[in-house]
Amino acid sequence: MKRHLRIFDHAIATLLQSPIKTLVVVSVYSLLVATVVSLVLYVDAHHREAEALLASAPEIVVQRVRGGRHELLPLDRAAVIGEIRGVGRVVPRVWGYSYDPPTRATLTLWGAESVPPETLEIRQGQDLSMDAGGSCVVGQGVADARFLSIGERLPFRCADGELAAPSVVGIFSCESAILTNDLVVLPTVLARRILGVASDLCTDMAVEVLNPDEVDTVVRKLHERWPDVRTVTRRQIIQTYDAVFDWRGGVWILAISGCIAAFGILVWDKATGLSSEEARAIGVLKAIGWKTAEVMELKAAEGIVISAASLLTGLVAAEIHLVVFNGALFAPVIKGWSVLYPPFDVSPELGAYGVLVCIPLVVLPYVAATLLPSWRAAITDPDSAMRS
Amino acid sequence: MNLREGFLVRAVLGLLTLEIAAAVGLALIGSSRCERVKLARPANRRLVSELGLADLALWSDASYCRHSSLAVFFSAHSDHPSAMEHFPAGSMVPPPSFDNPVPEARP
Repeated sequence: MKRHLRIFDHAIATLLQSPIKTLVVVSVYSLLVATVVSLVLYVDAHHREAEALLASAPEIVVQRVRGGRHELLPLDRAAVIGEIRGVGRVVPRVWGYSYDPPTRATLTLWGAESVPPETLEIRQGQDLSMDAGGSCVVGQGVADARFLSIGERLPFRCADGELAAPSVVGIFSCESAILTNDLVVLPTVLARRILGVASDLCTDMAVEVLNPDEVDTVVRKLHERWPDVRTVTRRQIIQTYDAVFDWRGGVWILAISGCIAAFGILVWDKATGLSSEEARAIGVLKAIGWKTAEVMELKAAEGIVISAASLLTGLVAAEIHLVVFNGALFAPVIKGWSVLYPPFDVSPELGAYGVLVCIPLVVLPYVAATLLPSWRAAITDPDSAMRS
Repeated sequence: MNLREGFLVRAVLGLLTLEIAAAVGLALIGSSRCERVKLARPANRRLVSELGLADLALWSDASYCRHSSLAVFFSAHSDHPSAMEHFPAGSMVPPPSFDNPVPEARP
Protein backbone atom coordinates (compact mmCIF):
# COMPACT_ATOMS: atom_id res chain seq x y z
CA MET A 1 0.00 0.00 0.00
CA LYS A 2 2.82 2.35 0.94
CA ARG A 3 4.49 1.66 -2.41
CA HIS A 4 1.28 2.60 -4.27
CA LEU A 5 0.95 5.79 -2.23
CA ARG A 6 4.51 6.74 -3.10
CA ILE A 7 3.85 6.14 -6.79
CA PHE A 8 0.69 8.23 -6.49
CA ASP A 9 2.64 10.96 -4.75
CA HIS A 10 5.37 10.86 -7.42
CA ALA A 11 2.63 11.19 -10.10
CA ILE A 12 1.33 14.37 -8.44
CA ALA A 13 4.86 15.74 -8.10
CA THR A 14 5.47 15.02 -11.81
CA LEU A 15 2.29 16.91 -12.75
CA LEU A 16 3.31 19.87 -10.56
CA GLN A 17 6.69 20.05 -12.29
CA SER A 18 4.91 21.62 -15.26
CA PRO A 19 2.04 23.49 -13.56
CA ILE A 20 1.01 25.62 -16.56
CA LYS A 21 0.65 22.58 -18.80
CA THR A 22 -1.31 20.69 -16.13
CA LEU A 23 -3.56 23.70 -15.54
CA VAL A 24 -4.28 24.10 -19.26
CA VAL A 25 -5.11 20.40 -19.62
CA VAL A 26 -7.40 20.44 -16.54
CA SER A 27 -9.10 23.65 -17.75
CA VAL A 28 -9.83 22.35 -21.26
CA TYR A 29 -10.89 19.00 -19.88
CA SER A 30 -13.16 20.61 -17.22
CA LEU A 31 -14.73 22.96 -19.77
CA LEU A 32 -15.59 20.02 -21.99
CA VAL A 33 -17.07 18.02 -19.09
CA ALA A 34 -19.03 21.06 -17.84
CA THR A 35 -20.48 21.74 -21.29
CA VAL A 36 -21.38 18.14 -22.04
CA VAL A 37 -22.88 17.41 -18.57
CA SER A 38 -24.74 20.72 -18.53
CA LEU A 39 -26.24 20.14 -21.97
CA VAL A 40 -27.11 16.49 -21.35
CA LEU A 41 -28.82 17.25 -18.00
CA TYR A 42 -30.64 20.32 -19.31
CA VAL A 43 -32.03 18.53 -22.37
CA ASP A 44 -32.83 15.46 -20.25
CA ALA A 45 -34.78 17.62 -17.76
CA HIS A 46 -36.89 19.02 -20.63
CA HIS A 47 -37.51 15.51 -21.94
CA ARG A 48 -38.61 14.35 -18.50
CA GLU A 49 -40.91 17.33 -17.97
CA ALA A 50 -42.58 16.90 -21.37
CA GLU A 51 -42.94 13.16 -20.90
CA ALA A 52 -44.32 13.51 -17.34
CA LEU A 53 -46.95 16.04 -18.43
CA LEU A 54 -47.96 14.54 -21.75
CA ALA A 55 -48.24 10.99 -20.40
CA SER A 56 -51.93 11.74 -19.89
CA ALA A 57 -52.46 13.31 -23.34
CA PRO A 58 -55.21 11.79 -25.52
CA GLU A 59 -54.45 8.26 -26.68
CA ILE A 60 -55.37 9.22 -30.26
CA VAL A 61 -56.20 12.62 -31.73
CA VAL A 62 -58.23 12.35 -34.93
CA GLN A 63 -58.03 15.21 -37.41
CA ARG A 64 -59.28 15.75 -40.92
CA VAL A 65 -56.87 16.90 -43.60
CA ARG A 66 -57.81 18.10 -47.06
CA GLY A 67 -55.31 19.36 -49.60
CA GLY A 68 -52.62 19.17 -46.96
CA ARG A 69 -54.48 21.50 -44.62
CA HIS A 70 -56.50 20.88 -41.51
CA GLU A 71 -60.23 20.90 -41.98
CA LEU A 72 -63.03 20.78 -39.46
CA LEU A 73 -64.32 17.33 -38.65
CA PRO A 74 -68.05 16.37 -38.89
CA LEU A 75 -69.41 15.63 -35.41
CA ASP A 76 -71.35 12.56 -36.57
CA ARG A 77 -68.07 10.68 -36.98
CA ALA A 78 -67.77 10.54 -33.18
CA ALA A 79 -70.56 7.95 -32.93
CA VAL A 80 -68.99 5.80 -35.67
CA ILE A 81 -65.56 5.96 -34.01
CA GLY A 82 -67.17 5.02 -30.67
CA GLU A 83 -68.47 1.79 -32.24
CA ILE A 84 -64.98 0.56 -33.11
CA ARG A 85 -64.10 -2.31 -30.78
CA GLY A 86 -61.68 -1.24 -28.05
CA VAL A 87 -62.56 2.45 -28.21
CA GLY A 88 -63.72 4.11 -24.99
CA ARG A 89 -64.73 7.78 -24.88
CA VAL A 90 -64.67 9.93 -28.00
CA VAL A 91 -64.51 13.64 -27.19
CA PRO A 92 -65.07 16.15 -30.01
CA ARG A 93 -63.00 19.27 -29.30
CA VAL A 94 -63.38 22.85 -30.39
CA TRP A 95 -60.22 24.92 -30.28
CA GLY A 96 -58.26 27.38 -32.36
CA TYR A 97 -56.17 30.50 -32.31
CA SER A 98 -56.86 34.18 -32.04
CA TYR A 99 -54.34 36.95 -32.68
CA ASP A 100 -54.42 39.62 -30.01
CA PRO A 101 -53.29 42.93 -31.60
CA PRO A 102 -52.59 44.89 -28.37
CA THR A 103 -50.07 42.33 -27.15
CA ARG A 104 -49.06 40.97 -30.59
CA ALA A 105 -49.52 37.51 -29.09
CA THR A 106 -51.44 34.58 -30.49
CA LEU A 107 -53.83 33.11 -27.94
CA THR A 108 -55.09 29.55 -27.95
CA LEU A 109 -58.86 29.38 -27.43
CA TRP A 110 -60.13 26.10 -26.01
CA GLY A 111 -63.73 25.03 -25.63
CA ALA A 112 -64.50 23.24 -22.34
CA GLU A 113 -67.21 23.30 -19.72
CA SER A 114 -64.93 23.12 -16.68
CA VAL A 115 -61.29 23.04 -15.62
CA PRO A 116 -59.70 21.22 -12.67
CA PRO A 117 -59.92 23.67 -9.72
CA GLU A 118 -56.49 22.71 -8.36
CA THR A 119 -54.82 24.20 -11.44
CA LEU A 120 -56.25 27.64 -10.76
CA GLU A 121 -54.41 30.34 -8.85
CA ILE A 122 -57.40 32.62 -8.40
CA ARG A 123 -61.01 31.81 -9.00
CA GLN A 124 -64.36 33.43 -8.40
CA GLY A 125 -66.00 31.54 -5.56
CA GLN A 126 -66.10 27.76 -5.73
CA ASP A 127 -68.38 27.47 -8.73
CA LEU A 128 -66.28 27.11 -11.82
CA SER A 129 -69.04 26.15 -14.18
CA MET A 130 -68.88 28.52 -17.12
CA ASP A 131 -72.10 29.47 -18.78
CA ALA A 132 -72.48 30.36 -22.42
CA GLY A 133 -73.22 33.93 -21.44
CA GLY A 134 -69.56 34.68 -21.42
CA SER A 135 -66.97 33.61 -18.92
CA CYS A 136 -63.47 32.32 -19.36
CA VAL A 137 -60.41 31.02 -17.54
CA VAL A 138 -57.10 32.47 -18.75
CA GLY A 139 -53.46 31.49 -18.40
CA GLN A 140 -50.95 33.54 -16.40
CA GLY A 141 -49.33 34.83 -19.58
CA VAL A 142 -52.63 36.15 -20.93
CA ALA A 143 -53.58 37.70 -17.57
CA ASP A 144 -50.19 39.43 -17.26
CA ALA A 145 -50.09 40.63 -20.87
CA ARG A 146 -53.61 42.06 -20.74
CA PHE A 147 -53.48 43.13 -17.05
CA LEU A 148 -56.53 40.99 -16.36
CA SER A 149 -57.93 40.13 -12.98
CA ILE A 150 -61.06 38.30 -11.89
CA GLY A 151 -64.27 39.86 -13.18
CA GLU A 152 -62.64 41.81 -16.02
CA ARG A 153 -63.57 41.17 -19.62
CA LEU A 154 -61.40 39.86 -22.43
CA PRO A 155 -62.84 41.00 -25.79
CA PHE A 156 -62.73 38.91 -28.98
CA ARG A 157 -64.01 39.61 -32.45
CA CYS A 158 -66.19 36.65 -33.45
CA ALA A 159 -66.06 35.04 -36.89
CA ASP A 160 -69.35 36.77 -37.77
CA GLY A 161 -67.92 40.20 -36.85
CA GLU A 162 -69.79 40.52 -33.58
CA LEU A 163 -67.93 41.30 -30.37
CA ALA A 164 -67.74 38.78 -27.52
CA ALA A 165 -66.32 39.83 -24.18
CA PRO A 166 -66.33 36.96 -21.69
CA SER A 167 -65.50 37.86 -18.12
CA VAL A 168 -62.53 36.22 -16.42
CA VAL A 169 -63.66 33.79 -13.70
CA GLY A 170 -60.31 32.10 -13.09
CA ILE A 171 -56.59 32.40 -13.76
CA PHE A 172 -54.42 29.34 -14.16
CA SER A 173 -51.58 28.94 -11.65
CA CYS A 174 -47.94 29.67 -12.44
CA GLU A 175 -47.16 25.98 -11.95
CA SER A 176 -49.38 25.08 -14.89
CA ALA A 177 -47.99 27.84 -17.12
CA ILE A 178 -46.03 25.36 -19.22
CA LEU A 179 -49.43 24.08 -20.41
CA THR A 180 -51.71 27.05 -20.03
CA ASN A 181 -49.70 30.27 -20.46
CA ASP A 182 -51.44 31.36 -23.69
CA LEU A 183 -54.65 29.45 -23.06
CA VAL A 184 -58.16 30.93 -22.85
CA VAL A 185 -60.70 28.28 -21.85
CA LEU A 186 -64.23 29.21 -22.88
CA PRO A 187 -67.58 27.42 -22.89
CA THR A 188 -67.75 25.38 -26.10
CA VAL A 189 -70.74 27.35 -27.41
CA LEU A 190 -68.81 30.61 -27.08
CA ALA A 191 -65.65 29.08 -28.54
CA ARG A 192 -67.71 27.99 -31.57
CA ARG A 193 -69.02 31.56 -32.01
CA ILE A 194 -65.59 33.18 -31.80
CA LEU A 195 -63.81 30.60 -33.97
CA GLY A 196 -66.65 30.22 -36.46
CA VAL A 197 -67.09 26.49 -35.98
CA ALA A 198 -70.61 25.34 -36.93
CA SER A 199 -72.55 23.24 -34.43
CA ASP A 200 -72.21 20.06 -36.52
CA LEU A 201 -68.41 20.36 -36.77
CA CYS A 202 -65.44 20.20 -34.41
CA THR A 203 -61.71 20.90 -34.64
CA ASP A 204 -60.63 17.34 -33.85
CA MET A 205 -61.54 14.41 -31.62
CA ALA A 206 -59.74 12.87 -28.67
CA VAL A 207 -60.17 9.11 -28.70
CA GLU A 208 -59.64 6.91 -25.66
CA VAL A 209 -58.47 3.36 -26.32
CA LEU A 210 -59.25 0.90 -23.52
CA ASN A 211 -56.27 -1.36 -24.20
CA PRO A 212 -53.11 0.62 -25.11
CA ASP A 213 -51.86 -2.37 -27.16
CA GLU A 214 -54.76 -1.84 -29.56
CA VAL A 215 -53.93 1.76 -30.47
CA ASP A 216 -52.31 0.79 -33.80
CA THR A 217 -55.30 -1.38 -34.72
CA VAL A 218 -57.77 1.43 -33.97
CA VAL A 219 -55.62 3.84 -36.00
CA ARG A 220 -55.61 1.41 -38.94
CA LYS A 221 -59.41 1.05 -38.76
CA LEU A 222 -59.83 4.85 -38.70
CA HIS A 223 -57.68 5.23 -41.83
CA GLU A 224 -59.56 2.43 -43.58
CA ARG A 225 -62.91 4.00 -42.76
CA TRP A 226 -62.00 7.62 -43.71
CA PRO A 227 -59.11 8.24 -46.12
CA ASP A 228 -59.03 11.94 -45.19
CA VAL A 229 -58.26 11.46 -41.48
CA ARG A 230 -54.93 12.09 -39.86
CA THR A 231 -54.26 10.47 -36.51
CA VAL A 232 -51.73 11.47 -33.87
CA THR A 233 -51.10 8.97 -31.07
CA ARG A 234 -49.84 9.74 -27.58
CA ARG A 235 -46.56 8.01 -28.42
CA GLN A 236 -46.12 10.33 -31.40
CA ILE A 237 -46.93 13.38 -29.24
CA ILE A 238 -44.16 12.45 -26.77
CA GLN A 239 -41.80 11.57 -29.64
CA THR A 240 -42.40 15.01 -31.13
CA TYR A 241 -41.07 16.71 -28.00
CA ASP A 242 -38.19 14.24 -27.79
CA ALA A 243 -37.29 15.19 -31.35
CA VAL A 244 -37.70 18.94 -30.75
CA PHE A 245 -35.49 19.01 -27.67
CA ASP A 246 -32.96 16.61 -29.21
CA TRP A 247 -32.79 18.82 -32.29
CA ARG A 248 -32.32 21.95 -30.21
CA GLY A 249 -29.67 20.17 -28.10
CA GLY A 250 -28.02 19.04 -31.34
CA VAL A 251 -27.59 22.65 -32.38
CA TRP A 252 -25.58 23.21 -29.23
CA ILE A 253 -23.51 20.08 -29.83
CA LEU A 254 -22.69 21.57 -33.23
CA ALA A 255 -21.67 24.82 -31.55
CA ILE A 256 -19.37 23.09 -29.06
CA SER A 257 -17.96 20.68 -31.63
CA GLY A 258 -14.88 22.95 -31.80
CA CYS A 259 -14.23 22.31 -28.10
CA ILE A 260 -14.71 18.57 -28.63
CA ALA A 261 -12.33 18.66 -31.62
CA ALA A 262 -9.72 20.52 -29.52
CA PHE A 263 -9.97 17.84 -26.86
CA GLY A 264 -9.68 15.15 -29.55
CA ILE A 265 -6.49 16.76 -30.87
CA LEU A 266 -5.10 16.90 -27.33
CA VAL A 267 -5.84 13.20 -26.83
CA TRP A 268 -4.44 12.31 -30.28
CA ASP A 269 -1.29 14.30 -29.58
CA LYS A 270 -0.74 12.38 -26.36
CA ALA A 271 -1.59 9.01 -27.88
CA THR A 272 0.80 9.33 -30.81
CA GLY A 273 3.91 9.81 -28.72
CA LEU A 274 5.68 11.09 -25.68
CA SER A 275 7.75 14.24 -25.58
CA SER A 276 11.50 13.68 -25.35
CA GLU A 277 11.42 14.85 -21.72
CA GLU A 278 8.75 12.33 -20.79
CA ALA A 279 10.59 9.52 -22.61
CA ARG A 280 13.82 10.48 -20.83
CA ALA A 281 12.03 10.48 -17.45
CA ILE A 282 10.67 7.00 -18.10
CA GLY A 283 14.16 5.87 -19.18
CA VAL A 284 15.64 7.23 -15.94
CA LEU A 285 13.00 5.47 -13.86
CA LYS A 286 13.68 2.20 -15.67
CA ALA A 287 17.44 2.69 -15.27
CA ILE A 288 17.18 3.13 -11.48
CA GLY A 289 15.21 -0.07 -11.17
CA TRP A 290 11.52 0.69 -11.74
CA LYS A 291 9.62 -2.18 -13.30
CA THR A 292 7.39 -1.71 -16.35
CA ALA A 293 4.27 -2.30 -14.21
CA GLU A 294 5.36 0.45 -11.82
CA VAL A 295 5.98 2.91 -14.65
CA MET A 296 2.55 2.08 -16.03
CA GLU A 297 1.03 2.58 -12.57
CA LEU A 298 2.70 5.97 -12.36
CA LYS A 299 1.33 7.05 -15.74
CA ALA A 300 -2.14 5.66 -14.92
CA ALA A 301 -2.06 7.64 -11.65
CA GLU A 302 -1.20 10.82 -13.58
CA GLY A 303 -4.12 10.21 -15.96
CA ILE A 304 -6.51 9.38 -13.13
CA VAL A 305 -5.57 12.48 -11.09
CA ILE A 306 -6.05 14.73 -14.14
CA SER A 307 -9.32 12.98 -15.09
CA ALA A 308 -10.76 12.97 -11.56
CA ALA A 309 -9.90 16.61 -10.93
CA SER A 310 -11.28 17.68 -14.32
CA LEU A 311 -14.40 15.53 -14.07
CA LEU A 312 -15.29 16.89 -10.63
CA THR A 313 -14.46 20.51 -11.56
CA GLY A 314 -16.56 20.09 -14.71
CA LEU A 315 -19.47 18.62 -12.72
CA VAL A 316 -19.39 21.45 -10.18
CA ALA A 317 -19.24 24.04 -12.98
CA ALA A 318 -22.18 22.35 -14.75
CA GLU A 319 -24.25 22.38 -11.57
CA ILE A 320 -23.45 26.03 -10.89
CA HIS A 321 -24.60 26.79 -14.44
CA LEU A 322 -27.82 24.81 -14.04
CA VAL A 323 -28.73 25.53 -10.41
CA VAL A 324 -27.47 29.08 -9.90
CA PHE A 325 -27.86 30.43 -13.44
CA ASN A 326 -30.82 28.22 -14.53
CA GLY A 327 -28.93 26.99 -17.59
CA ALA A 328 -28.71 30.56 -18.91
CA LEU A 329 -26.17 29.61 -21.57
CA PHE A 330 -28.35 26.96 -23.22
CA ALA A 331 -31.81 28.35 -22.43
CA PRO A 332 -32.20 30.59 -25.52
CA VAL A 333 -31.60 27.65 -27.84
CA ILE A 334 -33.21 24.78 -25.91
CA LYS A 335 -36.25 26.72 -24.67
CA GLY A 336 -36.66 28.99 -27.71
CA TRP A 337 -38.70 32.12 -27.37
CA SER A 338 -42.22 33.41 -27.75
CA VAL A 339 -44.16 36.62 -27.14
CA LEU A 340 -45.96 34.82 -24.30
CA TYR A 341 -43.25 32.58 -22.93
CA PRO A 342 -44.17 30.60 -19.79
CA PRO A 343 -41.95 31.10 -16.75
CA PHE A 344 -40.86 27.59 -15.91
CA ASP A 345 -37.82 25.92 -14.44
CA VAL A 346 -36.96 22.38 -15.29
CA SER A 347 -35.31 20.24 -12.64
CA PRO A 348 -31.93 18.98 -13.87
CA GLU A 349 -30.97 16.08 -11.64
CA LEU A 350 -27.33 15.16 -11.30
CA GLY A 351 -27.28 11.41 -11.04
CA ALA A 352 -25.30 8.50 -12.33
CA TYR A 353 -26.51 9.34 -15.85
CA GLY A 354 -24.61 12.63 -16.13
CA VAL A 355 -21.41 11.12 -14.76
CA LEU A 356 -21.67 7.93 -16.80
CA VAL A 357 -22.08 9.92 -20.02
CA CYS A 358 -18.72 11.60 -19.42
CA ILE A 359 -16.69 8.56 -18.39
CA PRO A 360 -16.66 6.81 -21.82
CA LEU A 361 -16.67 10.11 -23.67
CA VAL A 362 -13.75 11.87 -22.08
CA VAL A 363 -12.23 9.98 -19.13
CA LEU A 364 -11.45 6.64 -20.77
CA PRO A 365 -9.91 8.13 -23.95
CA TYR A 366 -7.67 10.41 -21.89
CA VAL A 367 -6.42 7.65 -19.54
CA ALA A 368 -5.89 5.34 -22.54
CA ALA A 369 -4.02 8.10 -24.37
CA THR A 370 -1.75 8.52 -21.34
CA LEU A 371 -1.06 4.81 -20.98
CA LEU A 372 -0.42 3.72 -24.57
CA PRO A 373 2.72 5.76 -25.38
CA SER A 374 4.03 5.24 -21.84
CA TRP A 375 3.74 1.50 -22.29
CA ARG A 376 5.68 1.74 -25.56
CA ALA A 377 8.45 3.72 -23.80
CA ALA A 378 8.42 1.50 -20.71
CA ILE A 379 9.05 -1.74 -22.63
CA THR A 380 12.03 -0.32 -24.53
CA ASP A 381 15.58 -0.41 -23.29
CA PRO A 382 16.23 2.41 -20.74
CA ASP A 383 19.29 3.53 -22.67
CA SER A 384 17.42 3.94 -25.96
CA ALA A 385 14.44 5.54 -24.13
CA MET A 386 16.77 8.18 -22.64
CA ARG A 387 18.50 8.77 -26.01
CA SER A 388 15.25 9.01 -28.04
CA MET B 1 7.10 8.63 3.03
CA ASN B 2 8.44 12.01 4.01
CA LEU B 3 6.38 15.05 5.02
CA ARG B 4 6.33 16.61 1.52
CA GLU B 5 5.09 13.41 -0.11
CA GLY B 6 2.29 12.96 2.40
CA PHE B 7 1.26 16.58 2.05
CA LEU B 8 0.83 16.35 -1.76
CA VAL B 9 -1.35 13.25 -1.58
CA ARG B 10 -3.43 14.72 1.23
CA ALA B 11 -3.79 18.05 -0.56
CA VAL B 12 -5.03 16.44 -3.78
CA LEU B 13 -7.38 14.08 -1.96
CA GLY B 14 -8.70 16.99 0.11
CA LEU B 15 -9.32 19.03 -3.02
CA LEU B 16 -11.17 16.16 -4.68
CA THR B 17 -13.26 15.59 -1.53
CA LEU B 18 -14.17 19.27 -1.49
CA GLU B 19 -15.27 19.06 -5.11
CA ILE B 20 -17.37 15.96 -4.39
CA ALA B 21 -19.01 17.77 -1.45
CA ALA B 22 -19.70 20.81 -3.64
CA ALA B 23 -21.18 18.62 -6.40
CA VAL B 24 -23.44 16.75 -3.96
CA GLY B 25 -24.48 19.99 -2.21
CA LEU B 26 -25.40 21.70 -5.48
CA ALA B 27 -27.30 18.61 -6.64
CA LEU B 28 -29.34 18.65 -3.42
CA ILE B 29 -30.06 22.38 -3.73
CA GLY B 30 -31.10 21.86 -7.36
CA SER B 31 -33.49 19.02 -6.58
CA SER B 32 -35.08 20.79 -3.61
CA ARG B 33 -35.52 24.03 -5.58
CA CYS B 34 -37.56 22.27 -8.23
CA GLU B 35 -39.75 20.47 -5.73
CA ARG B 36 -42.57 22.94 -6.49
CA VAL B 37 -42.51 21.89 -10.15
CA LYS B 38 -42.78 18.25 -9.15
CA LEU B 39 -45.59 18.93 -6.67
CA ALA B 40 -47.61 20.61 -9.42
CA ARG B 41 -47.30 17.64 -11.78
CA PRO B 42 -50.37 15.66 -10.64
CA ALA B 43 -52.63 18.73 -11.08
CA ASN B 44 -51.07 19.48 -14.47
CA ARG B 45 -51.53 15.90 -15.58
CA ARG B 46 -55.19 16.09 -14.59
CA LEU B 47 -55.51 19.26 -16.64
CA VAL B 48 -53.93 17.52 -19.65
CA SER B 49 -56.24 14.58 -19.18
CA GLU B 50 -59.46 16.59 -18.69
CA LEU B 51 -58.94 19.13 -21.46
CA GLY B 52 -57.14 16.66 -23.72
CA LEU B 53 -54.14 18.96 -24.19
CA ALA B 54 -51.49 17.55 -26.47
CA ASP B 55 -48.76 20.18 -26.43
CA LEU B 56 -46.69 22.42 -24.19
CA ALA B 57 -47.44 26.15 -24.36
CA LEU B 58 -43.84 27.06 -25.12
CA TRP B 59 -43.78 28.51 -28.63
CA SER B 60 -47.16 30.13 -29.13
CA ASP B 61 -46.60 32.39 -32.11
CA ALA B 62 -47.33 30.01 -34.96
CA SER B 63 -49.78 27.13 -35.02
CA TYR B 64 -47.14 24.60 -36.04
CA CYS B 65 -44.95 25.73 -33.11
CA ARG B 66 -47.75 25.92 -30.54
CA HIS B 67 -49.10 22.50 -31.42
CA SER B 68 -46.01 20.84 -32.85
CA SER B 69 -47.37 17.35 -32.42
CA LEU B 70 -50.74 18.09 -34.08
CA ALA B 71 -49.40 20.15 -36.99
CA VAL B 72 -49.21 18.65 -40.45
CA PHE B 73 -45.53 18.04 -41.28
CA PHE B 74 -45.32 20.71 -43.96
CA SER B 75 -47.54 23.32 -42.31
CA ALA B 76 -44.48 25.51 -41.72
CA HIS B 77 -44.00 25.66 -45.50
CA SER B 78 -47.59 25.67 -46.62
CA ASP B 79 -48.12 29.32 -47.53
CA HIS B 80 -47.13 28.92 -51.16
CA PRO B 81 -45.16 26.43 -53.29
CA SER B 82 -41.50 26.14 -52.22
CA ALA B 83 -42.13 28.47 -49.29
CA MET B 84 -39.39 28.63 -46.70
CA GLU B 85 -40.24 28.42 -43.03
CA HIS B 86 -40.31 32.07 -42.13
CA PHE B 87 -42.07 32.51 -38.83
CA PRO B 88 -39.66 33.67 -36.11
CA ALA B 89 -41.10 31.37 -33.44
CA GLY B 90 -39.67 28.48 -35.42
CA SER B 91 -36.17 29.81 -34.92
CA MET B 92 -33.92 30.19 -31.91
CA VAL B 93 -33.47 33.90 -31.51
CA PRO B 94 -36.25 36.44 -30.97
CA PRO B 95 -36.61 39.26 -33.47
CA PRO B 96 -35.25 42.69 -32.52
CA SER B 97 -37.70 44.91 -30.65
CA PHE B 98 -38.86 47.59 -33.01
CA ASP B 99 -39.95 50.98 -31.76
CA ASN B 100 -42.82 51.27 -34.23
CA PRO B 101 -46.26 51.61 -32.68
CA VAL B 102 -48.48 48.58 -32.27
CA PRO B 103 -50.60 48.22 -35.43
CA GLU B 104 -54.32 48.75 -35.04
CA ALA B 105 -56.61 45.77 -35.47
CA ARG B 106 -58.12 45.69 -38.92
CA PRO B 107 -61.79 46.63 -38.93
